[in-house]
Amino acid sequence: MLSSRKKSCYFKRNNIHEIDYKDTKLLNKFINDQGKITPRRVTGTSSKMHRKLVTAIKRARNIALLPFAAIDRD
Amino acid sequence: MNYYEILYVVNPNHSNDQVSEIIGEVSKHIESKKHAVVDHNFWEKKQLAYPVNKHKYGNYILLNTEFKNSDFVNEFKVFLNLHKEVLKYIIIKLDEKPVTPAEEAPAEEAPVKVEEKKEEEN
Repeated sequence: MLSSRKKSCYFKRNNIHEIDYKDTKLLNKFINDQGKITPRRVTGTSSKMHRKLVTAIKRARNIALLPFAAIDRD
Repeated sequence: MNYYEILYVVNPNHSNDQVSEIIGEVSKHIESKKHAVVDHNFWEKKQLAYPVNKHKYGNYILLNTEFKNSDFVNEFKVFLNLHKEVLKYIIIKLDEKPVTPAEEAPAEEAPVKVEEKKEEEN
């Protein structure tokens, strides 16, 4: 199969227009175990919302709600 | 008129009384310069994502304010930097007036009443 099912934007599906940096439960869905932001090509978010997501994650990192880099203990 | 949302972290070893003391201190500083405090509350005690000044936890305090002029932001930053108990802070400028929980509640009730009326008509 060349093309699998097209990914849709999480925020468009759930009718979210603004992303709050304090909402760590939501932001945690878009970072990996290392604390890195998952790319748009993986998550399928629209470019408009991805830009907002990136600023929210960076704000949350600044105030120690999210890690800059998670320590791998294994 | 500019609205700002400020989230700051204070020492986790403080009791609730000490935290409310700090909240009062910060509010006093803002009001003494004739700016308005919209909402100022203890948010949560949370585990920090990374250690800050060797602390693993932090008391988060959320503050919504209305500054008359943007010059006060820099002055307020200096105040927070010099405050011994504040570990970290973030200041964000809001586009609109923040909605407080008290204002939000009546707005939710209104649409419910409209739905009830529709059912009666049917």
